[in-house]
Amino acid sequence: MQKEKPYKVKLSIMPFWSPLTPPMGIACLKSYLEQNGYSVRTKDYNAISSLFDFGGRYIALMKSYTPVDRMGNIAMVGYDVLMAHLIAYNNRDDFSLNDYHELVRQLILNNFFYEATDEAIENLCELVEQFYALLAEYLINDIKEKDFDVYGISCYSLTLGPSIFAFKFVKKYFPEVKTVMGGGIFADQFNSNSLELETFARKATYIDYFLLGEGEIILLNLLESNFKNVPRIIVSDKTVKKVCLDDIPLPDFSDFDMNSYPQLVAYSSRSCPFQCGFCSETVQWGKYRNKREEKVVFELRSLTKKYGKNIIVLTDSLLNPNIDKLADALLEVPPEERFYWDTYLRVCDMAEDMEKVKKWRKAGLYRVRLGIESGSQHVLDLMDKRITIEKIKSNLQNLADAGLKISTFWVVGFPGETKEDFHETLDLLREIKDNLYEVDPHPFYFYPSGQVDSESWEKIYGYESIYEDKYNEMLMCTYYKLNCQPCREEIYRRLELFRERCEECNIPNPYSLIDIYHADKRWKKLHKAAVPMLNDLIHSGSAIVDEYRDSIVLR
Amino acid sequence: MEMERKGIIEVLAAIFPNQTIDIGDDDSFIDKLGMDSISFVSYVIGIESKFDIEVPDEYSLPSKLDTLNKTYDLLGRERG
Repeated sequence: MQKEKPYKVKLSIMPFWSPLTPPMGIACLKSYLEQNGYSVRTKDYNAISSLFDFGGRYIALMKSYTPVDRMGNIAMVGYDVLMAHLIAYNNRDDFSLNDYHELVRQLILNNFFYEATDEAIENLCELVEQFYALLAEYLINDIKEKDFDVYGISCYSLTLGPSIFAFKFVKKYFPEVKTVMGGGIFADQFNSNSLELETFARKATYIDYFLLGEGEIILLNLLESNFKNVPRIIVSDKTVKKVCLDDIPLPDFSDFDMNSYPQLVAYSSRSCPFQCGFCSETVQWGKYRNKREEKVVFELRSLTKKYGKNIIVLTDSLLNPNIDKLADALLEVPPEERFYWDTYLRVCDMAEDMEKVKKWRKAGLYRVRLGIESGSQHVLDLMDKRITIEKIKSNLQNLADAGLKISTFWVVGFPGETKEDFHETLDLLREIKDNLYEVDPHPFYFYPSGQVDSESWEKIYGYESIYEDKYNEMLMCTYYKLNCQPCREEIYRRLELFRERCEECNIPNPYSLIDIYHADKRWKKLHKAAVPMLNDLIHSGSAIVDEYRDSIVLR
Repeated sequence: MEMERKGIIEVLAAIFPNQTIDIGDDDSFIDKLGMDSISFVSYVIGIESKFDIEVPDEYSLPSKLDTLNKTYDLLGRERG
C-alpha cells in the first residue's frame, strides 16, 4: 500500500436505485483509489429501507388517484414522474407555489394523460417534502464529522433529484469541499455532446466537477491534479487511457451492510459489441473490452466466498461474447463453492443449441435478461436489432426448458412503429407467455444526442420540448419528444394495452423482492427445471437444492 | 386476536432468532427489530404460510405491514 494521499473521499449513491445488489460503480472506484493511496468511504442511501420505501409509497399514492385505464406501466413510468418531481423540489423556492404544483400536474398529464386533482398534487408534494426531511436527517448524520475533502455522487436519471439535494446540502455547510458528479446519467440526457449538460452545469453551481464515462482514471487524475488547471467537465473520451480490466482490483463492498442485499454484483466486460439504435451504452463506455475468463472466475469465487452470497449479477451490457467460455471455466468450480449468476444476453445462435444452454445452466446460470424490444420484425429491423421473431421464440423455448428465469425488456412506440406492428407485439406476448418469467415494457425515450440514432431521427422528424420553458427551468433540463408517429400520447396508450395483455396472460413485472417471490412461484409451477427461488437462495447458504442442475449430464 | 398475535410472534421469532420479540401492537418491526427488505419477504411468506392466505400487492411495501396492528388488519380483510 502506498503512502496515504492528502484527500479523503466520500462517494455515495442516492435513492432511487434498486438495492437488489450493492452499487458497483462506487465500490469499483473505492478499490481503485485505495490501491492508489486514497482513503475512500462509500455509502448507499438505497439500503436505508425507510428512505427507499418512499419510492413505493409515492407510486402507491399516485396509483390511488390514477384512472384504471391510464395506469400503463405505472411501476416504471411512475418513477419518471417521481424523478422529475424530486428535481423540481430542489428549485421550488425560485418559483411560485402555484408553478411548482402546476409542474406536478403537467408531469402527470404528460405521462398518464389525465388531469390530476389539487388534492392528489398536494398529497404527492407532501410525500416528497417528507422524503427530503428524512434524507436531510441522514445526511446531517453522515457529514457532520466532516471526515472528507471530496464528496462524489454516482448519479443516474432516477437519483438526480436527491443527488442535487445532497450536493447543495454539503456545499452549504462545507463550501471548501470539492463536489464531483459521475455516473450513468451522462449516458443519456446529460451526455457529453448535449446542450442539456451545458445548461445543467451552468445552473448547478454547487457541483464543482462533472466526470463523464469510465470513472477510475479521470477521478484519480482529478485528485492527483490537486484540482488545478482542470476543466469542470472531464470526459473519459478516446484521448484518455482506459483501465486494463485484468489489472484493476475487486470492487470493495466493505462499507456496505451486505445483509441488506440479496445478491452480489460483478462484471466481465465493459461497453457493448452491438449498436442498437435506441441505446447509449457504446456512447458512454467506448470500445468493448473484456476480462480474461480466469480473472472473472477468480473474482466471482472470491466475492461469493468473502460476502457469503450464492448469487451474483453480472452487469455486462451483454455477456454473449464471453458466456460460453465463462461457463466452461465455471464448471470447474468445486461443488461446495458453487453459486449462481444472472446476466444480460442478446438473442443469439448459441442459445439455439440446447446442449449449450444446458451447459450454462449446469455452470450456474440463473437468469437471463433479454432485450426483445418488439414482436414486429419491421420494428426490429428499424432498430437495426439484427434478430428475428423466429429466433426469439426458439431462444426463449430452450432457455425456459432449462428452467432459467427469462426477464425481457421491450420498447413501446419506437419511431415508425405502426398499430399493426404493435399488435404483432401483443400477439407474440400471448403466444410465448409461458416462456416469459418477466416482462418490462418501456416507452420510447428520445434524447437529441447520446443515442446511436439521435442525429438521424432529429434530421428526419425534428423534435420539441415536452414541457413549457418555465417548467424546464425547474427541471434543470429539457425533456424532448420526436415529431413522429406514434405520438407521445399514443405511445403511452400502447403501454397501457401492453400492461393489460400481460395481466391477461399472467406475466409478471416484479420490481421488489416480494414481487420476485410471487414471480418465482409462478415460474416453478410452469417449468419443472426451474432454478431455485431467489428467497431460497438467500436463506440456503451453500446447501442449495437444485435437482435439475445436478441431473444435467454434458456430452 | 390472541391466536393471531401468537402466530405472528412465532413468524417473527423464526426470522429474528437472536432477538426477544417483545413488541407492542403499534411498534414498527423496522425500528424495533431492524426488519429490512430481505426479512420483510420472509415475514410475508411466513404470514402466508401460517395463516393460509395470499398477501395482496398493496401490502408489498414494508411500511404497509410493519406492525402487529397492520397485520391484524390484513388478516381480518383476507379471512373475512
